[in-house]
Amino acid sequence: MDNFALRSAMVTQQSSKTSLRSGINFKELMSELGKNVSDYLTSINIDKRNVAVASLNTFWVYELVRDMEPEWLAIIECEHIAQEQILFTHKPNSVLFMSADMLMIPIYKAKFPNSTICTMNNCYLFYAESIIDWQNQDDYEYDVIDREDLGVEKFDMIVAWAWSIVGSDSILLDMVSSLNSGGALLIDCSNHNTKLYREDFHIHPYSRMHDLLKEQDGHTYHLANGYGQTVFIKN
Amino acid sequence: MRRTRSAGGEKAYDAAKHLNSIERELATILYIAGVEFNQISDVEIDDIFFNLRKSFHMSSSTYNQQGKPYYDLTRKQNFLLTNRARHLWLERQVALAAAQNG
Repeated sequence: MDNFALRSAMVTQQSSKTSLRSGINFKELMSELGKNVSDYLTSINIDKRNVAVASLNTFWVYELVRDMEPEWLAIIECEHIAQEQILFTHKPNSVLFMSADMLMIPIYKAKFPNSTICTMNNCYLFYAESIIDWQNQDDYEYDVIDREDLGVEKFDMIVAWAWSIVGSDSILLDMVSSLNSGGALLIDCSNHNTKLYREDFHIHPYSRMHDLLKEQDGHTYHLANGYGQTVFIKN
Repeated sequence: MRRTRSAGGEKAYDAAKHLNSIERELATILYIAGVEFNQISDVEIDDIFFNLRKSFHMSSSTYNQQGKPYYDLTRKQNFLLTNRARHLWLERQVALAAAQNG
């Protein structure tokens, strides 16, 4: 665990007043989400060798959040605080969540009920609809697109966790294509648990991701807070 | 095409479409690695990803199921491909289970 990320996350948590502490038990919600998804992944006998050689967030993050120590809770909450900050500041009319976010989508929809919410057809949507009890899921409608629709459909903002897109140039480029003019692409956890700042910077896939973004028509901002946040604003 | 899941309506997740997009991308990655997606079993696919990952860490030669070396990937290419491939591999296992369970 990176000490700076931990210290800054705990101060962020203590110094902020967000939707995550307003009528919501963040730890309880994340714990339930983690338990249900990790139990499901265990029940289908998923091959964990890939997880063993390098912790894949696709899997291990659910093991982590099911029973978080306060320090991890601060770090996880801090990432969501950063996400809420960008969403509430930009106030997009249409948002594509690359991972069906079971926490942020209901929060955003409650704050901006006229906004259009869309998610990708992937395992995160499956988790949200079938494995966990998605908060207020039945209260509103949302759109779903498939992989081939990315780059065709248009949005004011696209939100993604870096681990779910890294290594695919085409997904990144299609996300940029799917932004309206002036739209924003938000990529959270974009420093790979701070590994981006170590000696393998030049070969790290997250460097490639940023290089590619900088080649696009717009501005790219990488913030080294916590586990990293990258924002691309399309011209 | 964008579809709408209305409030209280049926689930919008489509396992078949999800699986199709995963396998299309996997096939592209495996082609670069010198392997044809349709000619190998599930177990072999996982071994290939495991070895690709290992080759990155060990900087040693690895071979495909025909005993031929993988294409000469740079460390950077290898890192990119194995990260994405491993992510897709886990997604594929979830999509297959979802398809079986309806």
